[in-house]
Amino acid sequence: MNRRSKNILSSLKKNRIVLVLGLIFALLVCSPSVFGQVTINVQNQTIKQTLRNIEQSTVYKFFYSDQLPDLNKKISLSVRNQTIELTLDKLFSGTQLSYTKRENNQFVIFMKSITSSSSGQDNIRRVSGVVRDEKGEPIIGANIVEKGTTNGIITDADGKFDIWLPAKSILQISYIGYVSQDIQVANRYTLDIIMKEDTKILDEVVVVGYGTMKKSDLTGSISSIKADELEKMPMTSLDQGIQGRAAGVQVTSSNGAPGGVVSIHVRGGNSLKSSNEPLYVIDGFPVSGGEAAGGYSSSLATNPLATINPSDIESIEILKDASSASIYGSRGSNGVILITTKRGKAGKPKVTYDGYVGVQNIANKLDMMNAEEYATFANEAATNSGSAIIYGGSDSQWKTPSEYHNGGIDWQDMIFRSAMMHNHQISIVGGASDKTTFAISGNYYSQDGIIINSDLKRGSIRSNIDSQVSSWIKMGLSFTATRTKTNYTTSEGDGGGSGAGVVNGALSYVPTMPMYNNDGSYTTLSTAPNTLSIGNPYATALLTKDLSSIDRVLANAYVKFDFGRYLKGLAFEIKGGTDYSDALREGYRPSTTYAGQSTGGSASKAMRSFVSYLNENLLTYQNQFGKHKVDFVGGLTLQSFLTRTTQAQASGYLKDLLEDNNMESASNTPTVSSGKSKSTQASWLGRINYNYAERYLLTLTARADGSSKFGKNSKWGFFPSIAGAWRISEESFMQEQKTLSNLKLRASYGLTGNQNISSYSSIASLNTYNYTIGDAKSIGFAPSKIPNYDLKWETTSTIDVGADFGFFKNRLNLTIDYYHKRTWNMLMDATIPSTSGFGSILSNVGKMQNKGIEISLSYDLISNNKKGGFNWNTSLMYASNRNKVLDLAGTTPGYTATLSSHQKISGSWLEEGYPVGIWYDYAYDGVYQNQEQLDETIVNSTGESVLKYPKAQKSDGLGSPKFKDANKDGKITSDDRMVIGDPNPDFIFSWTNNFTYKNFDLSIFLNGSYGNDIINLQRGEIATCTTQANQRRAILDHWSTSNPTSNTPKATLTIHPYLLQSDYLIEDGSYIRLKNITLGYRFNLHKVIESVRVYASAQNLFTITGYSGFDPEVNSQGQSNLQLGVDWNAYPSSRSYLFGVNLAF
Amino acid sequence: MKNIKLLIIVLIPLLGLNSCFDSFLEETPYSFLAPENVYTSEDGLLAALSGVYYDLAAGNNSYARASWMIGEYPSEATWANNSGDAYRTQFETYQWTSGSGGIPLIWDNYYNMIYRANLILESIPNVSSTATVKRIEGETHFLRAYAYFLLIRLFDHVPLVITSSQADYNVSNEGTDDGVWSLIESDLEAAESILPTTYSASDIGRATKGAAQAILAKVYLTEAGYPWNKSGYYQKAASKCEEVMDGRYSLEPNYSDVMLESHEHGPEYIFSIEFKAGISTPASNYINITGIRGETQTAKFSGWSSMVLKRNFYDRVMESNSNDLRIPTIFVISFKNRNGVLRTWGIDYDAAKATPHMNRFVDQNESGTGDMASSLNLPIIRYADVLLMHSEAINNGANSQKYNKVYGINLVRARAGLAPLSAGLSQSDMNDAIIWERVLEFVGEGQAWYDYKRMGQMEKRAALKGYPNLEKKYYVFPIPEDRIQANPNLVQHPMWQ
Repeated sequence: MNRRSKNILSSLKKNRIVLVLGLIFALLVCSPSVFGQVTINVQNQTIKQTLRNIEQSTVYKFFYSDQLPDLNKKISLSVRNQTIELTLDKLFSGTQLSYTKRENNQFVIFMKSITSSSSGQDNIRRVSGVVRDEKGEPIIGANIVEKGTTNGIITDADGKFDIWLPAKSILQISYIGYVSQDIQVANRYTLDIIMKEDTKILDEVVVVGYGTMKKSDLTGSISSIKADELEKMPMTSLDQGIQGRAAGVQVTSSNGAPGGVVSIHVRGGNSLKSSNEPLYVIDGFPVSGGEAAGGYSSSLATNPLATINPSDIESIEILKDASSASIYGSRGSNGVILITTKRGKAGKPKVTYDGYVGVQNIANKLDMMNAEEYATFANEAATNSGSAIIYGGSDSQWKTPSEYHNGGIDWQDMIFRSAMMHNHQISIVGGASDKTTFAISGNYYSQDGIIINSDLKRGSIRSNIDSQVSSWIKMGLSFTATRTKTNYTTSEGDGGGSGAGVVNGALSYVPTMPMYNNDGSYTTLSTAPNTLSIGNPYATALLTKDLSSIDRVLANAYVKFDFGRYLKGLAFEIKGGTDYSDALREGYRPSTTYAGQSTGGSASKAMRSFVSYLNENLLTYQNQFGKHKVDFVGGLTLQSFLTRTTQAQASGYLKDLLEDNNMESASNTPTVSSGKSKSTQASWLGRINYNYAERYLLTLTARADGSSKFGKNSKWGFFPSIAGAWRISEESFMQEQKTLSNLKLRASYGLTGNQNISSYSSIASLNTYNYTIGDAKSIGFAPSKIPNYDLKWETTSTIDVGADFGFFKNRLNLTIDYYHKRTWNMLMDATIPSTSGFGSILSNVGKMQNKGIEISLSYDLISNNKKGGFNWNTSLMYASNRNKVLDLAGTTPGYTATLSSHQKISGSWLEEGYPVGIWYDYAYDGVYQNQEQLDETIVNSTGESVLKYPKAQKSDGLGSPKFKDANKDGKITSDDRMVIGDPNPDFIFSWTNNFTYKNFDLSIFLNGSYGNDIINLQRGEIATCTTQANQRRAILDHWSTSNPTSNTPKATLTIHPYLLQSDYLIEDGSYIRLKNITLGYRFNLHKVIESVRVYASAQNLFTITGYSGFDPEVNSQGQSNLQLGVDWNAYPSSRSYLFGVNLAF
Repeated sequence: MKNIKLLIIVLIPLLGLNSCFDSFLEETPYSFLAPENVYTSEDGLLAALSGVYYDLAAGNNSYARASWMIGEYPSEATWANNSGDAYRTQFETYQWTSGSGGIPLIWDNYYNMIYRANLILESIPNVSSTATVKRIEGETHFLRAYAYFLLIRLFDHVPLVITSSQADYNVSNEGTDDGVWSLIESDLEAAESILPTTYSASDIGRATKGAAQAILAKVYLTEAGYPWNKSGYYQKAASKCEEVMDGRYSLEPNYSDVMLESHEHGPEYIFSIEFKAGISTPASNYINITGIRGETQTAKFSGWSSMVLKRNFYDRVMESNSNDLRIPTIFVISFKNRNGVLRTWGIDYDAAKATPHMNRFVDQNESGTGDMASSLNLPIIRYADVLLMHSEAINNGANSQKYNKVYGINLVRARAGLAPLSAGLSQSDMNDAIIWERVLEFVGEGQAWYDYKRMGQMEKRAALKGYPNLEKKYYVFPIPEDRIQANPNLVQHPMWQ
């Protein structure tokens, strides 16, 4: 049995598990009908106990006063699959008890014979009433419970209720969003209850930098995502929890690989040279580690979020404006993502298990030519080029097209597979007492990639402990250890050179190529005539080794001293911590693959160790003086970052056995490189929040940052901000109306910085430039740059104006923000005349702006507080950002990179007045369909008669592509290039719907992007109408004398080079996607375990898009600032189905 | 309020403590050296010198790519096959502009090389003088001269930069021609007087006295030719050639051995770009660029067909003398592929493209390790060049007591198995014979455009290639447009204005 069929078998086995789980799940979902019927058999038991038994075995609930007569009467009862009504009739026969049915399987039990005028011995009476809010509106679904009993009822559609009560009892009335109240019944028979709105609903606590605040007190723009929201849908990586849940935060996956790189931009990119990624702060610790070691494909940097277990997250806060982010000073420009992990709660330890198992498949396979179609096409191309046909030609290896009728290999089927994923998490949360609390969890996650030989495994343990050791000292510890193992496959890249990826290979390797050579070895390289040097994708994927392992420890501890006894509200906190990660990357390209055959097998081993230490010292003070509330935090923080790398490479192995584990056995001397770099940062920070009468709020924030990365003349920067808010809804004149329950206007202005450049950027340094002397290495050194001792951070100013609205008692919440960011002193390689020896010097020049609008809306469309009622919450997010480069300090507009050196495809074009990322090239204009088009002339503005459709190349003719002659000079020259695409979306949006009904919960999450373009490099290989790679089936409709109306170029042997420099490659990347749909059901099995929820979830179920590649949600260039919207044969995204369970004990 | 005062009293003094962090925020380099570590000792200068050589060999901007291509693609022999960067096709089809991609690479690279050389020459007075330091000085002069020689040939008018630090980056290229030529001459004279004639094995590859002399001969010949037309310089060139023709050098007996790694420092070697794979030094990839796409001519390298030979060139070579012994080395006529199958051009390989490939960079036994990691060197100047230069100088007016005008060219022809030329050829026929001999002899070596220019034959050779009525401006490369935008004092060449 070969390896391939083994793979299929093992995947079948795995799938069987899924199947079984699915069946169990289906059974469980179907079973509630069983619970509607009553089966009970009791002998000589009290009625009360019998009612309890029924409650436990069915969905029904009974409400009654303990003082009702006959409850303790002993009866015998035997029913089987009987309705509840008949059962109760039997049970109550011969007693004074009767019942009435309420909504939601609730029954109220009362005494038959009693009337309101009765003066029964225990004064049981029927009390009726109505519950209204302060504005006199009835409250539907309020809970009315006799205190200390289970006797209770819910108000009806008119806010009315009636209940049997003893006179001396106390009624508890409660409703979400209102202050609960206790009412002495005394002698009353009717009650008119007014409930006060609980303003604390807005007082959700939000984590801000260096502290927490009530949501109502916020002056800045902060998006907050809570655990309960995250838990509704299973996610495999933290970034999925952020995507679509915070307006103005754009999450882009570079590909669909397990643990693939994710780029997050908060309100657009501000920088050209420095990173545009936000600062991540985990439990107060600004982190930057967790990266993979460099290996074969250094572009495949790991997602630092992939090492964080999403189930451990209590909340995610995103600081978006300058007021909230300036507390992080020179690192705040790109926004700050605060991640808070779960901490302990006092009480009995609660054990939970969460797990899911799932299967993923490729979401969208591309429709490629089969062997017969390709062979026919290749012959046509050869004929068009005046060459002999290949298939059925002189070389008998290549048969006539019809002989491939049922032959040929679908290489996509060879490398894509159904892949398993599963996740298990156990956590224990509790407290030994009120003084010491803990949260401990363990997690294991395993995901196979949809490309063979790619997967990710992550194991983590976490422990958070807090202890009040004395009345004024509290200490705590947070500790997380994670191991992430990734098995990469070389997905990105194209047919140039030996590193070509398998995704390109699966599409490009022609279907007429066999899998095996005559000697049984894999074919390594396409030998079909007139094709590119592409490696066998199956052999490459299967045999290439590229393993990454990252061990990461995040640990921090604090001691907090409460000096309240000296000065009320004064406290001091000292924190210390470390972020440590150790990464290893092992790779081997065996001699049986294309990449390894010319080198005789090549091995690579890379190690990267990162450690950051942090010390924070914070003084906090909170107090209230009448209507004046003051909240102050100030402190000093010190942080250091140290990175060490080692990398070795060797090639020329006798056998493909020892790989990277024995490099000394390689015939070519192994090459070794290593590095070490360190940076440090010292900061003063301070913030004052002032609150007058809960109406007027003011925040002043400032941070002074000293960073080692900057020039010796400018080590320190200062980042102040100011913000104010007016809670109009708290004003007395707003108390009359009832529509608007919350209205807050906010405005902020401030400065933040960006210092995400590499260490030692400002100082003079020499690089290694070796040369061969005497046939041996002669070490060479030369300056690598011109030092800039004035180098400093980029500064971004942000104006943010926002408003928070709450309507109908905050059932409808709306937040709107407008921002305008300007970045100056941009870190840029400023152009200098290269006669100086260098073409540029890293300096602070240039300006850029981002402005935009964010809207988020959440509405409890159907809010039914009755237990088990139907609830529907819908929320919408919309964000639109406009980026513009304002000043490039005289740098000539130009291409920022070459995306594919093999295809000669240029990257984005950078020019003042345009957004970053645009493409500038020729405009494709169809093909020369007939001779008239070749000959047609026009008279241009200078009066010349010129060709209407000038040829790009002399050799062009019928069926060749045409390009727009923008300046109408009758020639296609570089002056005819124009802006042909923009990767920046007009807007991004998401739509979340949460439904609950009875024990079901359903979440539907859609997201999308509108107006963004994608440069599809894949098209350059497989849709350019040449034989060099297999072509998409759509290319069958190319121009030919028999298909003269086609606008797809004719079949050729080599690509028309202008096609690759034109918008032929650019496509509209707009999409709307059903990202996640999750259906859950919660069982009430109080006896066994506290709660059980099972769920099924589908991710990426469908996408509506006009994009022709695998997936419009792509950027192969990962976190690049300049190259956006690039699809370079990215690892395709998958569609996955998960089945999971949440258990609480 | 009292409390707030307290806070202020506590915080204000703390803010004054920033100076305490000065040492905390100081950067300690671990993985690289600062200039003061290197430019202060003999060892350091030796390393800095390798850094200058490096600029000849590494990356897309050096002789590994653009500098080689700019000389080679305009040749009547080569065809860019629409493969690779647009500038390659522009070079090949005489359609380059001030926006062509490869030109700025070259402009920047050789000013970087000059910068590195200037740094060394400035540092030498501060290092105690030893024989090695003296030799470093000689090599540095040689390399700086070569960089300027390249620049002035390509652009005619270039800024003269002789220090590593500039108060004003905006240097002009007006009125600098004499200064540049005299710097080139004086640098080479200094190199000639300092450098040894040979090196021990561990130093082979460094510039020698002979290299300085041979390049100086070419400098004189260039100044004598178009567009400088300096009188008396043919004589200087001939004399300098004869200084090299003193028996130190001789032709490789077989033309097919000239490029082989095993013969790279043979009798004909004067100065080459040194490439070596697998030792963290620059390697070459000529074999990839000229190799046959989709065929495997050698076990280690794949071909990209990016620089192939023109069919009409092949026809003219065959017409000129089909018995030329160089033919199988210039053209891939037949080869055994990786699977041992014999493939013959026109029969079972490349029939579709109807063009032969270049065979000069195929060395089955070279120590290269794989694609883009070939060990084949590229000669900058070899003895055959000196012989042909001598004939050119004499033919155009120089006198010699020793050798007549056909002496040099006939030695080269003899090796190719061709009959000697008669000394009675007219000057113009002789010049035609010399340029044709150079085209054949140096095919693939990046010489053609410079030869056409010097000998005033650009229009004629371009016409042979298929580009008649060539504009005069193709005798020069324009300064890249964006380099002019970056420096207001740079003036574009009059022919390109």
